[in-house]
Amino acid sequence: MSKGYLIFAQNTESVDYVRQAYTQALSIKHTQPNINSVSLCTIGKVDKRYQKGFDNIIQIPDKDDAKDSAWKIENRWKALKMSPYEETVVLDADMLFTSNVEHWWDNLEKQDISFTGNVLDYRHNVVTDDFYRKAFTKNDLPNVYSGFYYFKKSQPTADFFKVFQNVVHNWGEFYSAVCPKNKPPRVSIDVSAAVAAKILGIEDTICNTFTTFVHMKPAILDWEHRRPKWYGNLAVNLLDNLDLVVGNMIQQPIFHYVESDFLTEDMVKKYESKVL
Amino acid sequence: MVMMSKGIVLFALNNERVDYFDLATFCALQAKKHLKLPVTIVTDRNTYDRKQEYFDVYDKVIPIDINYKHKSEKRFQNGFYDSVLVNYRNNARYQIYDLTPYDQTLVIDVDIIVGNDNWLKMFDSDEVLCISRNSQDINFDRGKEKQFTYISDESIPFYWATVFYFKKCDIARKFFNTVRFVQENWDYYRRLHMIKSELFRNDFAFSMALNILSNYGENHWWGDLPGRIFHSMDTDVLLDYNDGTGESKMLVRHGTKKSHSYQKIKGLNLHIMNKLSLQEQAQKCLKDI
Repeated sequence: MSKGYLIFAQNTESVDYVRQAYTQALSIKHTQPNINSVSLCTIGKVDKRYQKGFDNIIQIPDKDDAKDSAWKIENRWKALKMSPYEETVVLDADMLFTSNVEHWWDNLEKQDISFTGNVLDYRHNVVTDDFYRKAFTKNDLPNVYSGFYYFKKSQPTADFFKVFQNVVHNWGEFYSAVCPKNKPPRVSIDVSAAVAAKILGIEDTICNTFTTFVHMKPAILDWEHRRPKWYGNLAVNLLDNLDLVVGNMIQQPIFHYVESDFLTEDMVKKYESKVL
Repeated sequence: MVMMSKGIVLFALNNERVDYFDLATFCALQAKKHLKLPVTIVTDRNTYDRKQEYFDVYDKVIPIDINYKHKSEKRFQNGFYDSVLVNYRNNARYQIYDLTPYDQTLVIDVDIIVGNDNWLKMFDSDEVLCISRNSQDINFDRGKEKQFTYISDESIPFYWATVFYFKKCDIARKFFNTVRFVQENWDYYRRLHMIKSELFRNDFAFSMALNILSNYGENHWWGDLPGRIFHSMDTDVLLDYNDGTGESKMLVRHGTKKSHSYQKIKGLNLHIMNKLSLQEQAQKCLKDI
């Protein structure tokens, strides 16, 4: 069975998501010795420099659902039909792999579809703060994080994506019906996946307990004094062996940096010189 | 099998307000009672010359010279309403590896009342270093102090240098050398870890050394202390200590409120942060020896 990673990246005026996806692809090549095929899902031509990072570059088919959107997430429901793999892990672009997680695949393949259900702060404490997750806690939604999720091509997966697509397309009505409390003001992939799971009655099994990543949204970092941004408030050091140290703590297994100014040109070059 | 020597080492570096040697002697008596191990004291030369009346309590008394490189002024709180600014002399701790006369050493801060034999278990373990991350406030309602969770709001986990155990070996030597390195470069390290105060703290230096020697938290190679250390805050007051029963009576402050409650404590290893009230009780007990 073919296995690989799928990253959606559509650039906006302010953020080069393809560059982020490219660096993530290099981090995957660096840390995952066997399962390290990475496919980019995008629209338009990809810079030559970045093409080298990907095994496949796949154009997002059909109408661009994210054409007028700031976050460019509306095409994510197309993951199933775009993936060239039998088994796929879908990733947010703004993440870096910092250690080998290939053993996760052995457990992931036991389910048709499986989302990350717990994330860590940079000091590796499990995040319990629901600051950004009120829609989940108030409406009893499964705590899905779509930054890292798995699916295998199967009928149950196809069923899920059908509902998922519907929810993304009609998020306002679905959210009003399924998560009226603290209803998100815009479409969210995490919330849409959780709503789809609830509709299908798989809310108790959709999240696994073993995949995880460090999530750097600033309000969940266990700081007494919350700040609007984490970058600039913590020391960041990408070592020569590509170990990543943030706040004097080594970052494992995957670092979801969230803020785009984190990824400096020096970092990208460091990955290039080590991996390419 | 080679028998390893075992013992306790205390540090007593007096300042103008707190007689650490008295606290140490009080601590040594409790430690000997519960742990039945020899106790060595490390002290500054001035104190060494003035405190010979208590030398019988100790297995060895080791005088050392101290250089004060860092800012050392610290405000000692004595309950909620009283405080005093003193010179805090705490920068000899890393020398323990070379100073200890024992193969297996338990170091106890002299502001701890030893109340049981929990720490003996470490001497039979394979651990090369045991140090505690957690301490329980005697006021369970006060909630976990963030200052004892991380060394700063943004930085690494906090470890207590208040009590620790080590076995002489290369790893332990490396650890104390790293503590010394951190201490010698304190200004750099405190800034790196976003610590605002210039005051050197062993808890912080130990935490930083563990961070460095674990590859930034990747490899947790040290052990935890058996049992729990309980702590009071310096806004609490030790009202009385009964040497016969080992019972402490404390006035415990309720969080940020101005109210206090009265608490009796016995059989615990208790860290008294209000050194001034501990000193009063220690000196009262020492009058009898």
